[in-house]
Amino acid sequence: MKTEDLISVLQQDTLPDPRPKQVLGRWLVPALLLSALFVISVYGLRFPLEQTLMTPEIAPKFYLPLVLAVLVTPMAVRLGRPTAKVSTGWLWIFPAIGAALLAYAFLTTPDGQRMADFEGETILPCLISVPMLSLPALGALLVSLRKGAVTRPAQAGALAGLAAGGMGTAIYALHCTEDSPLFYVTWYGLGIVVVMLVGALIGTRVLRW
Amino acid sequence: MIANEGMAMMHDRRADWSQLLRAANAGDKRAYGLFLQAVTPVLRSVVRARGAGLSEADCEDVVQEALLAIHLKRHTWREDEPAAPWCYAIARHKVVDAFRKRGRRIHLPVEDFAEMLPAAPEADPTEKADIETFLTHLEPRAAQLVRAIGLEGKSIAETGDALDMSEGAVRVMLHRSLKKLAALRERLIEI
Repeated sequence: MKTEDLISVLQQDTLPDPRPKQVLGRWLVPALLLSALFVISVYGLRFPLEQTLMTPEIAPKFYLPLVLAVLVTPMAVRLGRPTAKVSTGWLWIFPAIGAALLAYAFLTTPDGQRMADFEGETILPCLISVPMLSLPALGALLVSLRKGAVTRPAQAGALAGLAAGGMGTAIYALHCTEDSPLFYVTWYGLGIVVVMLVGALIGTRVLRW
Repeated sequence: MIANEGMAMMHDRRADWSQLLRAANAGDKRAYGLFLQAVTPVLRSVVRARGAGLSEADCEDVVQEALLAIHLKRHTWREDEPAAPWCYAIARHKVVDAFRKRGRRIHLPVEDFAEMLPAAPEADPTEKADIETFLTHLEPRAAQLVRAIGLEGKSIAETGDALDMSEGAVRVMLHRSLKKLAALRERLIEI
């Protein structure tokens, strides 16, 4: 078929595809509901919830990943456009805040208590739950990015993973009762990094076109 | 002097392409055809410049692949951004990818597209190239439909009549077939 002929075929195809943003709108909410319902019905919420949400030393374990998700999701979505460039350097603020929290907790925790706080009792459940609860959101983000024209698949995948990791972690924090930053900064942080790497890895495969 | 003309042409290109694509999004098929026809020679010269050693037909296949990608990703263009850089970004990605599949790694700065003057359309050599092969992988009806529109120049309505399908069904099948063709190229070209 000549190029001219191909053009006349393309010319006749007027059906528009949905934009990545619309697709995300369709999938992200159900994905988050799925994770939230799982935590509510299987794990159980922590009571009283105010303890997590209102206590200054504990609240970051919910709000920090939430803010991460809110800020990084639009960056990931933007990478669905081929001309998009995003600056990611400022994201180091999150590990920096984490490090500050760790330092604060280290200094204010008595000597004998530090190791116990750091290890907590639920490292494994945490490290399994955070990626698991993040996966539906990661799926939603990747599905929407696939509708776009990603020219930096690894970066887009990593940012999608980072955003989804934030979402999954914030949801998990509503259940988890490990309240020392020594625990949650370390293990939540590790969980989020895992989801980010998984996102980058899957991204390089599924975001090709 | 020549440089100036070149600059003026590039400037026009940016403005024209955006205008054409905007009209196309508003449903103007003719404008869309003009847009694709304007993009093609630019693609062709970039591919030829980079594709030393590739046969004429292979080059044209890459051009077609890029055109198909631009078409299928056109919803990622925002009307408030210039169409040319968007177009180059898609084409660059696709051309690099197409060369990789044919066993070559190329470095292709996006500026190449902007600076390239359109190549005169030589006799189009791809009468019987890849896309023809891929058509045989579609279901027979879909292949028939694409041929009717592409080779016989039929409209959607005429194709519907010929194949005894509703216009809506023709549209959907055409759209799916194009996606399928793009996916087939992705999978089947391994040289």
